[in-house]
Amino acid sequence: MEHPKLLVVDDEKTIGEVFERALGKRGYQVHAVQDAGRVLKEIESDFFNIIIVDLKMPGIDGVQLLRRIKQINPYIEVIIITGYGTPQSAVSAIKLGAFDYVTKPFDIIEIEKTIKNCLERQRRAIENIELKELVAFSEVSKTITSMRNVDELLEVILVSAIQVTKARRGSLFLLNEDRDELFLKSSRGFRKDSITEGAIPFNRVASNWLAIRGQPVVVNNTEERLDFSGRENAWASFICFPMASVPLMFHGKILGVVNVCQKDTGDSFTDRDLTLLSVLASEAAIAIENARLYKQLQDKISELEDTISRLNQTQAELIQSEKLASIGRLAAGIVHEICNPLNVISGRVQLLLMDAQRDTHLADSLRIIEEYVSRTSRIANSLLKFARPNQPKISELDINQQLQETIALLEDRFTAKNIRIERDLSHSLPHVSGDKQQFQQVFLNIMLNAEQAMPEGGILKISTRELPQEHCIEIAFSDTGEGIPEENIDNIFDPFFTTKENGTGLGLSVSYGIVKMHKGTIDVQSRQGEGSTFLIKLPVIDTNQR
Amino acid sequence: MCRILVVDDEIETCNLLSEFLNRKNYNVSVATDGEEAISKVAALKPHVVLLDIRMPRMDGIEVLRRIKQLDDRIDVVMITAVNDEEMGKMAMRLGAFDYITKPLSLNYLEAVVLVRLFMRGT
Repeated sequence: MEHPKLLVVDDEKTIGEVFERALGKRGYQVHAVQDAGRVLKEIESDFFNIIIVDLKMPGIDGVQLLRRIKQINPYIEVIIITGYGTPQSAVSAIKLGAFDYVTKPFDIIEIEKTIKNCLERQRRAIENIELKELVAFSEVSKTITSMRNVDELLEVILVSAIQVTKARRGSLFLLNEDRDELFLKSSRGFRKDSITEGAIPFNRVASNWLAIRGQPVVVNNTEERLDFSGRENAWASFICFPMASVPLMFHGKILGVVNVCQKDTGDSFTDRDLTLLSVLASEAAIAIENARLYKQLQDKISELEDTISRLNQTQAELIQSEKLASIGRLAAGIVHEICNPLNVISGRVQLLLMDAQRDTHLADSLRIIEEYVSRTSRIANSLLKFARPNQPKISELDINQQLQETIALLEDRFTAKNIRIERDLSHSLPHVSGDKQQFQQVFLNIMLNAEQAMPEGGILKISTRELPQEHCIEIAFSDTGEGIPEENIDNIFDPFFTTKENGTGLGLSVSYGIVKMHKGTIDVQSRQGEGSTFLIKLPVIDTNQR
Repeated sequence: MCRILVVDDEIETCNLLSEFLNRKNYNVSVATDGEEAISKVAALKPHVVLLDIRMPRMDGIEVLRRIKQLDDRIDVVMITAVNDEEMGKMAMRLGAFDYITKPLSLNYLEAVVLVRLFMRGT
């Protein structure tokens, strides 16, 4: 405080003159008024370090004035002087925040000592406040740098900028990538209808000018005209209040701008405000860039996770197809080895049957042998479907129609077993391309499976729908049967895996092979006791290639 | 009397078929590999050859081709343990009379032979 400012308020003109004369030459700026009513106006337009107030004045007494001054600005120090002091008035003045209470006549030297002590207390108080602000500010910085969500981060930056500068309003703009426009990301204290949403061209707002230059700016005098390179007109309509703006910059690249305007106290923005704002802005810019990088990293990670899960899926499918293929290769050999002896057994049985008397026990036994031989050969031959699948006859198919045909085949049988079939078939199901018979085989396998799962009867719900996003259709078979035990669910499409007494364990794996061959997927969801759902997805015909 | 040659590397299959066909009064001969089959076709001039496809050294398809070169009036019925649509088509293109799978139905086999005899008027 090089030239502390003093305001002397006394209805006796001579008192003011004494202070002006004695302290003016000691480096104080002394301003004296006789009318107490003018004091409040003076402190609104100017800052005084100390106000020296006479206790007894016409119209208003010194203690009342003291109270008003402290309400307007608690940092202004007040010293009371009086000709007729009483202990009570002294105590109440000190309680209300007066620094000291001096009785007339006084020694000006003594008064100066009091003033010096008072200035020292003020200096410490202001330092203390600034220190507290800095601590709070560094907490803000820490918070900002640890934030990961860009939108939340921008909110915190703006709120911090407003708090740090004790502003009433503020706004935060980000520059878009091609550097043409600023986008309002966050604002506080403005009326809703005064906010422009979306992109703002450069020449509309003060801050945009800054964004180009990358410099902090304070405008306190709203009459002030700066060189805005021909943008004065745009400025004039905008600046009605004191404001400060700082660019958010990272490595010389402008990310956006933070604006604050109108201090709570009505004061101007100070260099300190601008310094704090600039520090905040540089922390904020780093945080924004970090948050963006973090977001990119997160996106990359989730992309990678997707890729990995797709890879795992593909790998599982590969293993399944490889399993089927090797079984297939094995099968051809096995079938040959089985069918030759079977042929001899079967032939011999046929010869014996020709000799045997009809309706004898021997003939019955031979027929049973013959039946079981032919069953063995059927099982062996179904294995061959892996080795040499019949060439599919591909045509354009309406899956709903295929389902209806398969249902028609089984409906009587299901009714007899107390199983109701519910259809929920999409009316606008796109066509797929594939082998009609093979699809019917798949549907038959799954429906027979459902039948087995519902020995006491139940409901089989068959539904179809389009999945436009995936360019495929989905066919769902949901039964109300016993469900598949968890330990079996991974094996259900494996060849020879069966839980049925008479099953070959080939139905579902053949179905798997067929769906795979049509570039589709087949999956099962099941909970024991609640039934199972088989889901088949098939790609729709690409109308562009038709 | 109708002459039939049975060709199969599995001797029990040959025994089975010749026993059955003998009962039905056909004149049956047996060969257990491709070479033997070719020389017996040349020597015996059978009306019908029942020919296994999967045999060591020379397979049934090759034997079929050679028989047809020797005398394409001889009817060859291919017999296979492994039902393979492509193989069946190939055999039919090479002039086989039928393609049947094991285990054989003996009654069906005889029907095939009878059809052949009827068509040839033998």
